[in-house]
Amino acid sequence: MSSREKIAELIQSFIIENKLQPGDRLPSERELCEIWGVNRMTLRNAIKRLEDLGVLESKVGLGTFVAKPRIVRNLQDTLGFSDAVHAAGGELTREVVFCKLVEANKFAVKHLHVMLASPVLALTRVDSVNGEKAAIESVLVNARNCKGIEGHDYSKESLYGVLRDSYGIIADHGSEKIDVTSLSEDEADLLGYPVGTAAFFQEGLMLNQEGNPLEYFMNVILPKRIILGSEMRPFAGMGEFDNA
Amino acid sequence: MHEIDENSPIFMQLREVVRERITTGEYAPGVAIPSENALAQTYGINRLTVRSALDGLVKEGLLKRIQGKGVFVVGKRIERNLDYLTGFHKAIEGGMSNPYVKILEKERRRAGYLYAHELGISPDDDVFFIKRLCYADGKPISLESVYVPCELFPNLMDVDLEVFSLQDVYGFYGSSPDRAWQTLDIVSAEPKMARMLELGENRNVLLFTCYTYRADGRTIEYMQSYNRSDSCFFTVKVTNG
Repeated sequence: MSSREKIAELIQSFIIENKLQPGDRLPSERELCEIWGVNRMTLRNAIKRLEDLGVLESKVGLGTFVAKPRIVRNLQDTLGFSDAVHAAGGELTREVVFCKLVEANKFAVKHLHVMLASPVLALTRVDSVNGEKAAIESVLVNARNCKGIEGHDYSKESLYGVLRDSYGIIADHGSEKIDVTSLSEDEADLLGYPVGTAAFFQEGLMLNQEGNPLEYFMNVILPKRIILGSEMRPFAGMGEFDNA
Repeated sequence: MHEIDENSPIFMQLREVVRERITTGEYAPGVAIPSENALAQTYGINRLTVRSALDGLVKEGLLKRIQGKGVFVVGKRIERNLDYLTGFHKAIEGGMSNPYVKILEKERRRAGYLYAHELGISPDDDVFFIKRLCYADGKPISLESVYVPCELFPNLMDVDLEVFSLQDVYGFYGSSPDRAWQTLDIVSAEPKMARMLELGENRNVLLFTCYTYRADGRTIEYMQSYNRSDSCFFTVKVTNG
């Protein structure tokens, strides 16, 4: 184990042993160096590591603090993300930056498996957690039986709620892929973060109950604000799912 | 089948001796048994006789012969069909071929406050710490740190983890994983990690953290896995149950 890893463990153990809470301040760097007999450089490296991991937060001139845990977006949660953020003591707000009924282009044909020129809802929203921009959610929805779908206020209404309540369509199941992207100029602009910042790229397809493609989504999520979570367990009703 | 007694051929007698020691746990799952030469010497028999004694147990699946390493005891197998599990699944661009695990560190240590907290044990309990580098097609894919309570798997230190996976070991000791809580984060690799993972300019790695529990709720493993973001991605199934 490197000395940086050892010191990082000492700091985390110190937080647990002394029951420090989010927002509590750590002793000064000088005190910590004295307690553990390490040099300032090693301590700073360890602190930097823990800041990157979302454990600590440094405020210039004020010191180093225990960070508030980040919001975990549980991808299997049956609660909507908005409810999940609320349950974690935060507030999710959504701003609609694009909402239009468009004709399916080649991209939509490929990803949503619809006919060229068939009606598709293109919706892009920016999510903020506690007022801080955290994610861009872009979706394409098969709108063939959804007259007027573009007329809803998606800053307030959930897309799945509208599909269910107004059109009797259920987003039932699907699969998604997560990897790493770096913010393009447009994305950086929308999120107010530097171009090239690393972010999650979450892409997937939701199907309706009949197993037909309903929604293709592409989310860009800032790991500084939201991390992704998932529970692994034997799949309930897996037979049906696998045959779908 | 005839009872094995002193009139039975020697190779059959040795086979029953080894079988008995596997059953009683004297030869522990995941651990190498004495070498063929050592057994031959102990009992004053030919090495070929030892080999034919062990061959039968290899065929039965009780032993596993690894070229250049020795003969290992195989414990109970657990069937794991990933298709039947939810949760994140790691995938490698272009498919996973020739997976290989290199154990970098393996030690028994005091849990301390941090890992006691993560594993739900006391800070004075011991844990096994394993650091390993996983390869696919000869290229490093992920660097993993694994922490396991010693109490649950007392022989883990003697198990060759390049031969058996931790999943195998959990099965041997009847602590099959029941569920796991996993998170994904993106962090920047520090220089040493970047060198080990052979990262280029792009230092961003996917940090996969996983807590594994058995059916009674005890945490059996805490793992942090740093994955190259250019060659790995994660997939997950979703249902609006």
